[in-house]
Amino acid sequence: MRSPVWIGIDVGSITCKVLVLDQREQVLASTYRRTRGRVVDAVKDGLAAVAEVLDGRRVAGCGTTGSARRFVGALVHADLVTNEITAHARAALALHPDARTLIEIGGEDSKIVLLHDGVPTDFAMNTVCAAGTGAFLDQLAGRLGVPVEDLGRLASASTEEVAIAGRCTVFAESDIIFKQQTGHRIEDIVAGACRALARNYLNDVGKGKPIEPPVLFLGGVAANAGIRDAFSTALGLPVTVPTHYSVMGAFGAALILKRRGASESTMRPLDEIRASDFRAETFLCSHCANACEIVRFVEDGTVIAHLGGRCERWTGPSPIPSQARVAAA
Amino acid sequence: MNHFTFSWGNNYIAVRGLLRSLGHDLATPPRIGPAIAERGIACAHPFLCFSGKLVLGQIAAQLEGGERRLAFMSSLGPEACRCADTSDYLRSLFAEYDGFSAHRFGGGSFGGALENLRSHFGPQVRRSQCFRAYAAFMGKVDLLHKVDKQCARLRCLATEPSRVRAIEREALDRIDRAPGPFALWRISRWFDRATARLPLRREPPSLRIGIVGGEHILSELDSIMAVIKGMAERGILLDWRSGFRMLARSSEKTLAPLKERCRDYLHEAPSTSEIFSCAHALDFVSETYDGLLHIYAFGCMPQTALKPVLQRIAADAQMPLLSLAIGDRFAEEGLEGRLEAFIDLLDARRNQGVNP
Repeated sequence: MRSPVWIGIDVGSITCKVLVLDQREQVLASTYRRTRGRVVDAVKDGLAAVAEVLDGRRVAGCGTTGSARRFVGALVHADLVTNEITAHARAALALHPDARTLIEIGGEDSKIVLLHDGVPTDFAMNTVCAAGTGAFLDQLAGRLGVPVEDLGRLASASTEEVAIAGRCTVFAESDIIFKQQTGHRIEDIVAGACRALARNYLNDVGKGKPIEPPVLFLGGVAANAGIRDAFSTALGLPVTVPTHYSVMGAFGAALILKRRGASESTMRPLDEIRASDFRAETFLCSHCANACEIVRFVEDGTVIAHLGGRCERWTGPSPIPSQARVAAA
Repeated sequence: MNHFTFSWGNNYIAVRGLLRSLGHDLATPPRIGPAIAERGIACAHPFLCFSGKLVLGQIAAQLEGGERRLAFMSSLGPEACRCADTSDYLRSLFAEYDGFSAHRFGGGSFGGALENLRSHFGPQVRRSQCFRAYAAFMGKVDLLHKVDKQCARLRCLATEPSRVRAIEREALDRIDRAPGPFALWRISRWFDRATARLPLRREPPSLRIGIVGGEHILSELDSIMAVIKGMAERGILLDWRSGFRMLARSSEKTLAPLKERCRDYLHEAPSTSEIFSCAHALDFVSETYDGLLHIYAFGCMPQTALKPVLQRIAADAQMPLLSLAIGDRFAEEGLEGRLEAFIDLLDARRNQGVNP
C-alpha cells in the first residue's frame, strides 16, 4: 500500500509555499517562491517542484492557507481552507511545544501569537501599515540597490550604529537617503533599518502584549539575521528561527489535516491542476446598496463558483470545502 | 428639499420614520463604492473617522451631481464624537453650494429636540409633531434593536438559519413601512410569533462572544455586521448590548451608575460610547463569556481611546480580546482571517478547559 502524504499550500501576498508531510510528520519536500502576481502559475510551479516525492504516494489531504487560501482551495479542490494564524501556531507548537511567543513577518502583514501550555491565548496582526513587514525590506533593498536576500549579511557586517526612522516606510526612505548622503556605510544603514523594523513591529503589532520566551521567529523575513538580532536585542531575549521557518503556514495546514485523521483527499490530480485554465474575476454586485465585491471562479471558460457577498445571492455549489466536512471525516 | 443622514442601517430606517411622520422622507443615498470613499477621503479632515468620510463622500457626490436642495441631519445625543454633530463643519465644508444645509437633530431633552427640529424644518414645527416624530423614531430604534439582536442569537440557536434571515428581512421591511406606534406594536407581535415557531438546536452554543464597540457599526444591518453575524451560523452565540438605542437615551441619570461601575478603568471624562462599551465588556466578563470582540470604525476617537481600556479589562479577566478597526468595506479578507483565528483560539481554550 502506498504511504500517505499530506500537502500544505500557503499563498500570501508575495510568496507561495508548498510542503509535503509524511505519516511521521516529517517534511518530505517544500518549496518557497515569489508569486509575482501570478498565483495560479506559482501554485502550479510549486506543486510541480514537489511532484517527485508524491510519486508512488497517496495524497491523504491537502490544506490551503494564506490570504489566497480560498482561491487556491478552489483551484486544487482542497480538503481544508484555514487561516494563517492558526496554521502557523499549530506548526510552531509541533516543532517547539514549549514556545510562548511567535513573531511572524510576511510580505505585507505581520503577526504575533502568544501561546500558553500549547494553546494560542492571544494574537494580533498589523493594522493599516506595512512598515513592520517584508514590504519594508523590499523597499529598502530597492533603494540601496542590493538583493533583498543580502540584507541579513550586510546587517551582520555593521560596525557603527545608525538610527533610521521606522514608523513609516516613506519617512524611513527619506532617512535612508539622508544617511547615504552623509556618507554612512551601507552595512550600517541596513542594520539601522533592521532595528527600525523590529521597533515598529514591537510598537504596533506587539504593543501591550506580554512577550515571553521561548520566542520563535517565523516567515520569510526570519532569514534575515539582522532582523533576528534586532528583535533579540530589543526584547532582551533569545530569538529562535526554527527549521522550516519560511513554510510554517503550509506545514500547519498539512499538519492540521493529518492530525484530524484525514485519509481520503478531494484534491485534484496534479496533471489536472497543471492543465486547467483557472482564473478569478471580480465584479460588484448591483442588487443592493452594499455593492459587495464578488469573486467569480472560472475554469476552462465555465463559471464554477462564486465567493463573497453579504447575502445568499451568490451562495451556491462551491468546490471550496468547509472545515466541518474535514472534521467530520 | 431632499433630506439625508448617515447611511447606517438601523439608524437610517429610524430617521426615515421620524421624517415620514413629519411629512418628509429621506433621500436614497448614493451607493458606497471606491469612488465615494475616495471622494470622502479627499474632502474630509484627516482625523474624521472612516464612516464619517464615507458620508462626506456621499454628500459630495450628491452636490456635485447637481443636487441643490439637500439637508443633512447629523446625529443625536450628547455623544462626544467628532462625527456625531458635524453640522457646523459640513456647512463650512460645502459652503459653495447654496442649497445645502446641515442641522443637528435630537437633543438631551424634549426642548432641545424641538429646537433642533425647528432649525431643520422651520419654526412651524409644533410640539405635538415633534412628540409624534420622536415616538416613531424611538419606537423604530427599539424594535430594530430587538430584531437585530434576536436574529443574531437565533442564527446560532435555530436549526434553519435561512428561515431566521428571511424573518429578519421581512421584519426590517415592515418596520421601515410602519406608519406609527400601533403598527410597530403589531410587527413586534408578529416577530415574536414567527421566531417562537422556529425549531431550535438541541446542542448548546459552542462559544459565547460578547461584542462591544462603535454604535454605528453595531447598528449596521447588511454590511460588516453581516460578516460578523455569519459566525452565529457556525454555532457561536453573539451578544451585544450597545447600539444606537443606547446613545439615543443616554441621559446623565442613565450614565452615572455605569460610570461608577467602570471607574477602575475609564478616565475622568469618558464619552457616552466609551461608558457603554466599558460597562458591557465588564458584564461579559462577569457572565464568563468565552471572548470579547471590539468593533469600531477606523479613526473613531472614543473607541480608539477605549482600546487600551478593553485590553486592561481582558488582561485582568484573562479573557481573549480581538479589536477590529473597520477601515475599508471591501477588505474582508483580513476581517475574516482574524475572525477565524479568534474562533480557533477560543475553541482551543475551551477544549483545554481554560474557559469551559
